[in-house]
Amino acid sequence: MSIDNEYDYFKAYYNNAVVNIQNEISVSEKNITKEEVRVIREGKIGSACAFGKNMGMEKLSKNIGHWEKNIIDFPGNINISCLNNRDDYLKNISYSEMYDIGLQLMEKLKHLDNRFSYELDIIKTRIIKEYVNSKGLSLGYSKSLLGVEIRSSRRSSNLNLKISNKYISSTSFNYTSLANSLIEVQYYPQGIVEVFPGEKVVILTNQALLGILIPLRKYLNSNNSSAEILNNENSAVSKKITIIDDPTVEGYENSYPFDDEGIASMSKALISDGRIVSIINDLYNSSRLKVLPTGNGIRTINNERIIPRFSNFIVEKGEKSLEQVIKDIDDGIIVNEIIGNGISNFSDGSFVFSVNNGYGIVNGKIRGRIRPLIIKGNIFQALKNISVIGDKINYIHNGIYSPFIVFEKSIRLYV
Amino acid sequence: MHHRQSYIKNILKKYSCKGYFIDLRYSDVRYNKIAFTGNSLRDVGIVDESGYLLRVIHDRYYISIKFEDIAQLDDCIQNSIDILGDNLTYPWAEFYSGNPVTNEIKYNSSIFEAGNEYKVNILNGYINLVKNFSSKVKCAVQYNDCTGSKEYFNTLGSYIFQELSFYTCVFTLTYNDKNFRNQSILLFGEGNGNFHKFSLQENIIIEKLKYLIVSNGLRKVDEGNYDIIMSPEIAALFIHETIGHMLEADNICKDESLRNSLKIGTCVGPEFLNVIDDPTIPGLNGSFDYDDEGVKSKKKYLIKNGLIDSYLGNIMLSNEMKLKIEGNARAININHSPIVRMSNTYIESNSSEGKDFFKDVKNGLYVKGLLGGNTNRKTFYFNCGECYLVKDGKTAGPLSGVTISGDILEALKKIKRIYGDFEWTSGGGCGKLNQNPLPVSMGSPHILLENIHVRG
Repeated sequence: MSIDNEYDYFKAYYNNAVVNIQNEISVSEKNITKEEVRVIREGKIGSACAFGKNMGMEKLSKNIGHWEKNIIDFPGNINISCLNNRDDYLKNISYSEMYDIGLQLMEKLKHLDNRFSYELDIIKTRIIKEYVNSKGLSLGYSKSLLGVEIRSSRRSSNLNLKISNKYISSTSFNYTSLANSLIEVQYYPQGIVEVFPGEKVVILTNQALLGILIPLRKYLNSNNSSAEILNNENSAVSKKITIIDDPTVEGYENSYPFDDEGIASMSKALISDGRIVSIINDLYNSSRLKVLPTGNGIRTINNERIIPRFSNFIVEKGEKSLEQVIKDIDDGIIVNEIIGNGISNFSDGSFVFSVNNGYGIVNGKIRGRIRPLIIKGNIFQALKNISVIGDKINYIHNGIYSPFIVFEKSIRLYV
Repeated sequence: MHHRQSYIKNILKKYSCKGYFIDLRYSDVRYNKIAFTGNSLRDVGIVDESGYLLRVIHDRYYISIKFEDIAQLDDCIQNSIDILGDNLTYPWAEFYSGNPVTNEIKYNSSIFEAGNEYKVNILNGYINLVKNFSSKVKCAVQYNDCTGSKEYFNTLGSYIFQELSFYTCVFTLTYNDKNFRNQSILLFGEGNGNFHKFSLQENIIIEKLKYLIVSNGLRKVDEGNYDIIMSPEIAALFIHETIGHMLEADNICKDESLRNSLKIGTCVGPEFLNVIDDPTIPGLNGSFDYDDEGVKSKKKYLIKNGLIDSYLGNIMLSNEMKLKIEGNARAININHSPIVRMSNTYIESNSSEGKDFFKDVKNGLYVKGLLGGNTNRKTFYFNCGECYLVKDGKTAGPLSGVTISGDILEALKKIKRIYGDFEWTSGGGCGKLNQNPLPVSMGSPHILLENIHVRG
C-alpha cells in the first residue's frame, strides 16, 4: 500500500428489513455499505468515510479533510473467540417467515386481551464487518438479529391508552412469555387518579428508564466525560445498583467479538459497590486519557465519526418483584413511558421529562392512571437514593437492558 | 448518463401497465462536517453518499428497498411483486391522478464554492470572539452542509432532477464558574445554495455571551401562571411542535380522537392566528421545489383566521383521507422512505399590532433563548434559557431560565396578541420516526400568551 505507513480501514454491510403488520402489511429493506479509513501522517491523524460508493482505501483517503495532532496506536494481533449469533439460522429468514412470526404473536396478544388493537414490527438486521490495519490485523464477522416492536392502543369513551414495547434477540422467541411481558401494563386499573406535586417514591420501568439512563450514559462515556468523574463527590451512588457494559453476552442486541477498531470485546463494570468505577473509551480517547482501550469504538450506520458507544448497557437485576415493591409503597407513582428520552443539563446533572403513561400507587395498590405531569431531578441525587432494583431484566432500547428501578424521594413531580 | 436514465425509464414502463405504482429515488451527495469542541477544531469530515431507494405500492401495501447498484433494479422490483402478489384489488393507477412531471432544478451554490478552509476560518473567527469575551465560556460548534443532487422517477413517466445545497450550524456556549453553569444555544442555516448569513453571526453571539455572563446569580422565577411574551425563536418552535406536528395527516389518520377533534374548519385559536407551511420561499433550510414523491411544492395555510385550513400530507394519505394534501413527503436521506414532514412553518406577522411588545403587560415574563423542549401531541414543555421580568409595560431586569408547559389546545386559545415583526429561525433539525435531524425553518413574530404555567 503506497499511501502511508500507518492506517486502518473498516468496511461494513448493513441489511435491515422490517415487516410491519397492522390492518395492512408493509415491508422495507435497506442495504447499506459503509467504508471508513484512518491514516496517520507526520504525527497527525485524519479520517474519511463514504456510503455506497465502494471507493476502496486509497481513493477514500484522498477525502480526508482534517489532520489532527494526535496519534493512536492501532492494535496488532488479538485473540478472539467468535460469538455464535445464530447467524446461519437468521440470515436466510424470508419475509413470509417474518410475517408468520408476527401473525403468531398477534394471535397470542389478541387471545390475552382483545380490547386492544395492536401494531407489530418484525425487524431483521444483518451486519457484516471487516477490519484491516497496517499492523497486519485482518478481522471479520457477521451477525443477525430478530426483533419485535409492539404498539398497542385501547380506546373507549374516556380512555386513550397507548403502550409500545420492544424485544430483540439473536435467539428464538418464546411467544407466550413475550406477549405476556409486553402487555402486562394493560391490566392496571385505568381510571384517572389525582396526584399531588412534591417528592415521591417513583418506580421507573421499561421505556421510562431512558429518562435517567440516557443522561447517566453521558457521564460514563469518555467522549463527554473525563476520568474526574471517578474521583469526585458525584461518583458515590447507591450500593444497590450495578451497571456493566458487556458486548460478550450471547443473544443480546449489541454483542460483538471485537469492536470497530479491532479491539477484542470485554465485559466491564461501570457502576459497582456504591461507586462509578470506570468509563468507556475508544482508541482516540484512550490515548487522550492515557488509559487502556475498553473496546467501545463503534461506528454507526450514520455518517457520524467514530466515538465510544456502549455495547450492551446492562443494569444488573435485584431481588424484589414489582408486586412486592408496590405492596410497600404508601404514596408513589409507577411510570412506564415518557415523552422522548428526556432532557438533561450535562453541566449540573439536572434532568427533566414528561410522563406519557404512569399510574398512581396509594397504600400498596395501583389505583389508576395519572394525568400528564413533569418529573425533575438531579441524576447524581437520584442514583444515591435508589431503594430497590427489580428482579427481571427487560430489553428497553438500543442495547439498554434493565429491570425496574425505585427512587426514594429524590425526584420531584410537577402537575 | 442518458443511457442510465432511459434504462430506468424502460424498466419502470414495463411494470406501469400492471397497476403497480413504483417510484425510484437516487441521490448522490457530499456532506461536509466541521466540529469544534472546547474552543478548538476537532474534525473536518467529508462523507460521500449515493444509492437508490425503490418503492412499490399496491393495495395499501408497500415494499421499499434500498440498494446501491442500478443493475439490481429489475430484480428488486420483481422480488417486491413476488411478495405483494398480483391480485390487485386497489390498483394505484386508477386513482392516482398525477401527471408525469419532467424538470431540472439547479442553483448557484455558494456553499459548494466556499470550500472547507473558508468555513473553518469564519468559524475560527467566532471562536476567537468567544475566547476574547470571557475565559469562562467554552464554545462547541457543529457545522454540517450537504451539496449534490437527487433524482426521482416513477411509473407515470416522471423524471425530476434537483440540486441539493443547504447548511446548518449549531453553536453551544457553556458558561462555567465555580458554583454556576449555564448554557446558550445559537442556530442558523440556509437552503437553495445560499451562504450569506454564515459570516454575519457576530452580533448575535455577543448578545448571547452578555446574557450568559449576567445570568450568574440571577433570581429564580416563583412557580405560577404568568402572561408570557415569547420571542420569535420560542414562538416559532412552539408553533412547529404544536400546530405543525399536530396537523401531520399520518398522525391524524391513525388516531380517531384526533380525527374528530382536528376536523378541517375547527377553531383552535384567535381570529388573527394564521399558520403557514411554505416550502417555496427561497433560501431557507426547509425549501424545496419538488417533494420526495415528485409533487410540486406549494404554500399552505394550516390555520387560517384561527380555523384549521389544511393538513400536511403525502399522496398515499391524500387518497386515504379523500383530501388534496400532498406535497410534504420528505426523506432525510436515501436510506429512508419519505414521510409527512414540515418545511418552512411560520406564524404570519400581524401588521395591525406594531412592535411595542410590552405595551399593556402589567406583570409578565419575556422568554428567549431556546434550550430544548418536547410535546406528546397533547401537552408541551419548553426550556427557555433567558427570561426577563416585565412590569407595567417595561422590562424590569433579567431572571434565570424557566420551563413553560401546558396543554397545547388550551395554550393556543391563550394567544392574545401577535405582533408586527417577524424573524426566521433556521439551522435546527426536526426529528420524526428515526429521521433526524431533517432541515426545517420556523418563523414567527413576537407573540403574547395569557396565563401560562412557568417554573424556575
